[in-house]
Amino acid sequence: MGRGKRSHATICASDRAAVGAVGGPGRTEVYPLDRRVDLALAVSVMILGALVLIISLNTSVPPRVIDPLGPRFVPSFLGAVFAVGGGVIAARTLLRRELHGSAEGEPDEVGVPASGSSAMATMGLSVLYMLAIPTVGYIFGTLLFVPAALWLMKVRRMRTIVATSMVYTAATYALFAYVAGVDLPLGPLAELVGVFGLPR
Amino acid sequence: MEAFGETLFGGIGLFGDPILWVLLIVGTILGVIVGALPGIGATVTYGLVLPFTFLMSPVEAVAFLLAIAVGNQYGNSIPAILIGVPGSPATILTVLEGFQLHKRGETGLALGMAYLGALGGQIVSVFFFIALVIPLAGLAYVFLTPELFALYLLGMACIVSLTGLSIWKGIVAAALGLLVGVIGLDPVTITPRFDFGFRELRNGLDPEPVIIGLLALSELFRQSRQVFQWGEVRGAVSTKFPSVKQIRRVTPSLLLGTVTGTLIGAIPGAGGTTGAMISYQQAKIISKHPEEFGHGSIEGIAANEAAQNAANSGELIPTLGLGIPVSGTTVLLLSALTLHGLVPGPQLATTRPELLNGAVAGLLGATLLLIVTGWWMARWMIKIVAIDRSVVLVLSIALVILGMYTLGGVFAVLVCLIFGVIGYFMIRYGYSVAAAALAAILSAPFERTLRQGLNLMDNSLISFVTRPVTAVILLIAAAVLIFGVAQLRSQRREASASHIPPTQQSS
Repeated sequence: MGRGKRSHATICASDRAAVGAVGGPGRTEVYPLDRRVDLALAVSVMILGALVLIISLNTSVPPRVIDPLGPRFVPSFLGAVFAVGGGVIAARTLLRRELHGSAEGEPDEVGVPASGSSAMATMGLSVLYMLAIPTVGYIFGTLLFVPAALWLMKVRRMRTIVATSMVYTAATYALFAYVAGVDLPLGPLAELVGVFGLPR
Repeated sequence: MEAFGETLFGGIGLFGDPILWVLLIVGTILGVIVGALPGIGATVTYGLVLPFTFLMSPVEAVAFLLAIAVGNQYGNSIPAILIGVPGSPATILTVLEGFQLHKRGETGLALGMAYLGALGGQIVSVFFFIALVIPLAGLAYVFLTPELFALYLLGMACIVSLTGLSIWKGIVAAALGLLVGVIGLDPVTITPRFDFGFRELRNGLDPEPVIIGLLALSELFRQSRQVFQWGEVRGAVSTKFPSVKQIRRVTPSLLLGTVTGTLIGAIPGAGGTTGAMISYQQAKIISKHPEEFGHGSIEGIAANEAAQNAANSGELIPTLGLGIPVSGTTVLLLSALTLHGLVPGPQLATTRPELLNGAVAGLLGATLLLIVTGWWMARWMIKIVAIDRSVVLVLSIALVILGMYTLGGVFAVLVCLIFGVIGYFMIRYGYSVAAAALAAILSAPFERTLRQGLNLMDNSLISFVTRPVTAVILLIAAAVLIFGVAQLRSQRREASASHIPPTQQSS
């Protein structure tokens, strides 16, 4: 998953790959399903099943309501599905010999380095952006998020970074504030906007 | 026949509205642009624009979203032909035939066939859509709770076609979607479930952040794993339109693709890719030049493109006729309608027939726009693939977050991000996000109709089965399930047959 970890990959010469699928004609696809992560996910599904079962069995059932199945039925059923499904997937994963090699997951583009940590960092930045909007305001938050995310995605041309951030922030703020009439939080800029008599 | 005319001319009548035209133009251009960007499909685009549809009327929202779908299907063929990269799985056969023609210097022929196939298929399929959706919507009056339950069960059975290669992972994914619907007040006893004392969870999770997280944000996160550009247009690009003789030659394949695409598209879970594959095979069978298939066949391109575009109309038949979405895009289409307070279900088209008019206006209007501008746009779209992919990804993520924030504040963004991260792992490890999204939208009505139906039938499940309409729907559900499982097994066999031991490494 991580950038530093070298993972084996399986080339699946499926019909899609034969005609180029993601990578174009002549290219093949990489199916980097790491058995350990697959197993961890299956175990997580089992744990989720156990939790859902416990919570659903503790759901209060009101008396004097005619309801043959009751509020516990569907969640308990789902809990059982998670527990059994997770168990089957875990067992199947353990029985598989090779470390990698199932064509179940969505492949990365072949011939291009793939980094799980890059995706994780993008997710982390997105969470920070979500927290930044109500605190520092939409404009500052976006002017921080877009350049940081572009930098993370290996964009190094300052002109592209600055222009993209400024144009996107201005365009979306104008669209929401002036066209859609949606109030986006301005944070510290709120007072400044008030001074110039601009709509908030 | 009267209802057919009302729906068709009702849709055409909407063309008098200038606002609708603005939305159609924006939707069509946006659709073509994102279609030309490999990897950013109609589903992701729907996820980006969904919050904006709140500003529109339901009819405008339907027309706008369908204009995007039409533009997207057409735009898909451009990178497929010019750089050999399909914008979506359904375009793989266009790569196979069109890229060959481009390499031989016959780019105009390939683009022209894609243009004719896509737009011809789209326009003809609209009439099939109207002809099929009206009788289906007319059944709505015989639907009581047991019939509704059977219908939602059919929707659940359709999930099998979206499960991916592992049926167990598909079942777990669907269960996750169903669990989303369980959160909130119980539909019969009004008991709070899975709200953990949080006020925001008391009334359940809104489906939009969940579905956009699962279908759009997850895919954007997945794509952020890699940094590369889409590709370069190699060789000269001639834009000579196909001759009348060539157009006459592909007409049977085009019509066959249209009929097949519409009908297959209407089968829940089958979708445009299956329709395109079947149409391609049929075109090869009826062709006088089957030897050209795989080496630049114009009939192959026409059949494939016609089927893909016709599937747009086909998918709408169960979606608007019965309220059963059959793909990621139709799940989001119904989500857009729920934003306006409409309840997806078999009564949707009968209580709000103007939605069918909106669908006709969207499909026909976007097709007409592409007939006029599509050929010119194809030449322009060559430049689109030069846009920095990283910029597109980052701005798409920012736009999803902004859309969610305007829709439901920080909580909606949080839910969307959580399901985006869950969806990322699901995509990576073969748990179908489409199955989870479809289950999430069907979950609450499925449980409600099951339990209320049992109350209505004196707790007798047998009474569910013995009602004629319910029995027919349950039989169809069983057939869909059996067909889906058989198809899944065949796909698994193919996948293991083509499995080659690891030879490459990726970091």
